Amino acid sequence: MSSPQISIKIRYFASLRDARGLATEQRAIPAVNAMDLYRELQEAYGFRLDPSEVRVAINGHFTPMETRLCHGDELAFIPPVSGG
Amino acid sequence: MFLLTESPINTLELVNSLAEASVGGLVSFEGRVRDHNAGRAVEALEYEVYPELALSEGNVIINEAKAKFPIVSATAIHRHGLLNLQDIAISIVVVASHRDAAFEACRYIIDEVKQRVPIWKREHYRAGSKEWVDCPGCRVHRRERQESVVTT
Repeated sequence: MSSPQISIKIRYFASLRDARGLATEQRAIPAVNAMDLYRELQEAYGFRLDPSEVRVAINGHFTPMETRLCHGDELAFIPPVSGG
Repeated sequence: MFLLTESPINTLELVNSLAEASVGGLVSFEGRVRDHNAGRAVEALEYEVYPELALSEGNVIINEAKAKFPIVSATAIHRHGLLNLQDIAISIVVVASHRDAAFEACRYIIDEVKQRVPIWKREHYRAGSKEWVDCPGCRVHRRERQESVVTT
C-alpha cells in the first residue's frame, strides 16, 4: 500500500536554489521524514551536498533530519552557512 | 539585537546608539569584503539570507552572549545583496562596564554567527566566475586553519 500524500512548501537557498532552479515550490510527497525527502531531491536535481552536510528548518525552526513531515509544513534545507 | 539590511552599514551610528553612562568598554568589530580568498582574486561578494531564521538565530546568539558575559548590550547587523570590496558585511558593537566582557562577547557573537546563522556568500572572482562558499569542507578548513594558528 502506498503512503498517503501530503503537500508541503519547500524553500531553496544558495547552491540548492541554483541546482533546483527555483526559490520555492509547493510539492506533493509521501509522508516521509526530512532526510528521505532530501535524498529524493538530491537524486532528482543533483544536489552536490551530502545529507550529512545540510540541516533542515521546518516552519522556521532548526529540526532533526529524522523529523516526519506533516501536511502544510514549510521546509528549507540549510547548506553550510558562510555569513560574516 | 540582531538586524539585517540591504543598505550600507554605518558602524558609527550603531556605536552612538549603544553608548550610555554606565559603559566603560565598547568593542566594535567589522567584517569587510576583502580582495582575495584561498588564493583567488575576489572583486565582489553576494550574500543571500533566509531572513526569518537568520533573525531568530541571530537573536538567540545575542541573548546567549548576554547570558554568558557581563555586558550591558550588544547589537549585530548583517548586510545582504551585492557588496563591493571593503564594504561592511557585518558590524557588531558590544558595550559593557569593563573591557574583558566586551571583547569576549564580541568574539563569541562573530564566531557563532559564522557557524550558525543562515546566510550564504557567493564569491565573484576577478577571473569572471562565481561560486557559493558552502562547500562541505569550508567549516573543516576553517577549523583546521584556526587550530594551526593556535599551535604554531
